[in-house]
Amino acid sequence: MRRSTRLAAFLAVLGPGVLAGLSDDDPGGITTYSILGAEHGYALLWVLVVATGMLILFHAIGVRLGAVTGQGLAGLVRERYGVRAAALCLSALVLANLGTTCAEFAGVAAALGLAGVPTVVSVPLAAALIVVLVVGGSFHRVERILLALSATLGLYIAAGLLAGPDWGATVHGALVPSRITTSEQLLAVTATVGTTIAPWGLAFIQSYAVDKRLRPADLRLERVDVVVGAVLTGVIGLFVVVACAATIHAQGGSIETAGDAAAALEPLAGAWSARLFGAGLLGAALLAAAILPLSTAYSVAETFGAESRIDDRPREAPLFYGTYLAITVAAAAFVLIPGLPLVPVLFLTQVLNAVLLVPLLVFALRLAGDRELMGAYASTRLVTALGWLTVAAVGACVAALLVSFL
Amino acid sequence: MPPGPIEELSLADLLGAAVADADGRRIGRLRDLAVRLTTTAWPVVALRVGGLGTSFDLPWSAVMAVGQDQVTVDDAARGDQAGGTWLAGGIVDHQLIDLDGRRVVRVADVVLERADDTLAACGIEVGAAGVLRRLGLRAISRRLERELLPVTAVTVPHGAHDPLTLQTTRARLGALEEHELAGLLDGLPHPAAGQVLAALEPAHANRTARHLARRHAVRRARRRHRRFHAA
Repeated sequence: MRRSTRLAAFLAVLGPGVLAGLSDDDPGGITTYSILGAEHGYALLWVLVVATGMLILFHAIGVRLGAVTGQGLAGLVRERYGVRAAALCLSALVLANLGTTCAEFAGVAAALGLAGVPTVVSVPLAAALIVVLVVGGSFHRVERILLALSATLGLYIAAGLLAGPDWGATVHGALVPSRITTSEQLLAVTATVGTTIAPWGLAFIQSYAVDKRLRPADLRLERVDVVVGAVLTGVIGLFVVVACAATIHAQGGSIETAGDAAAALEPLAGAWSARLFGAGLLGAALLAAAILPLSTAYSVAETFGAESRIDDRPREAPLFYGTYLAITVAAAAFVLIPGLPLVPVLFLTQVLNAVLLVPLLVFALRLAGDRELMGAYASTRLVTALGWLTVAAVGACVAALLVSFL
Repeated sequence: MPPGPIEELSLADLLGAAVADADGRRIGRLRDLAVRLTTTAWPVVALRVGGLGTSFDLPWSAVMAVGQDQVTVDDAARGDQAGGTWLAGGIVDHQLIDLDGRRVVRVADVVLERADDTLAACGIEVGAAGVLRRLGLRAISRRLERELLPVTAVTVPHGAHDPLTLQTTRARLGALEEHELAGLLDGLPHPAAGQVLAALEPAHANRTARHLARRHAVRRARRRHRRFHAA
């Protein structure tokens, strides 16, 4: 096949992997990575590398499930394990997604707050724009706009370069695991895993692959999309960590939010670093604020047997669009509550993601390995083994964290 | 079984009922019912009983009495094969293609009709009300409209692992022009589209498949054209 034809074929399937991957670099993720770098320097970079590998594994599983079965994760769980299992899956997703969507709007407020825009203006405006985009747009238009928004995440790479990191320490921290000895380190590790392999991302990539009408024949190129998306996520996360490690950590400072990180960068790395960080935060927040409610809407519709697509009109898919609107409005309203402590919302929702991730990983792994369901596309022994290793690692993090709180 | 008035039952409400032998000794719980698929109602032909670590089937002829909370059976018929399609394992929670509305829905429950000594599936329930009822949220479920379809409008694929159910008859599908049917199938998940094609007369299926392939090719070419020129 000619190179131009191969490229065109790849661009035709591009979407699920890149969007699901890059949406992981949302304000909650950026905050988590910022704290990882600001408080622990380069020492825990290896956790991000390992989490990225896990992300590739499970996003590939998700897109394969969607392309082969034509069903989303929640719908498949209902069909194979019953309505109670689907309700458990959905409850975990809705709880995690609502918290994370609040974090996205908190990120919009933080990013535009750096430019002096008050929260009461920025959050409702962002919510309205997002609802109009998804409810009023076709699948292709929505996808194009979301992919364009995801390009703003590249600004973090520029911000990281401007911060002048120690590249030797970066490589060492990324490749050499360090011991986890304190509860603060354990919390940071768990939050990093939870924000990188987010529960909503697992469900979203599968539902989106179905909505995009991917087929088994598309899987070869789609794997490239998944790897590109996950690697970009990891690279952007790495630059956020090193930007904060090289500046805030080196000065012995601390931060509480991604907005704090953007502000703190200015005296240490110049105004442009801070502006790029803030602009990247806004792009990340808008992208994730559009995708999180979409993931929730897909899952709710699938669980109740009303599978829907973005191309459906609102009156054809009332449950789908009603859920989208409800999650968006609820999250935006929550963030507007005066005096609300946004730090727990931004950081601790990522810990909650890790806790709720375990049952979803188990469902996805079992379904992907089911030969009756997947036929020739069932997971290989290697993928299954790596998957169970991931489940064990995430479970161990969560268990250790719970024990440390006792 | 003693004769009685015609009574409507829900599969979800029946499942889990205690199963007792003629002496009243509990032998398990009702796990599933098998039906014979016909062009009218689907008569129940077997039941599956499960206990702690055990499971066995009984033909419907072994049933002596059916109540909301208990089914009494002649346990001596254990092991007799009756065949049929299992409702809980093969119909409930599976996708149903609503070709009239061009939507994919899921079976939430099955409505059964009991008359004298027969029990038959007469309706399929889709929609959120059935799901909420099965989750124990009856108060919310009662506020929603119950969406019921007659089993006569449903065709179940013959393959053991084919999960999809068509909400129309072959005659109605066959009456559509190939280009109309291709347009309809284009909006469905691809495994569902394959099931619809498999239900058609071969010549009709081939012509429809060619229309569908042409639509897919045009869509792929448009995507490549857009991406190629954008790049």
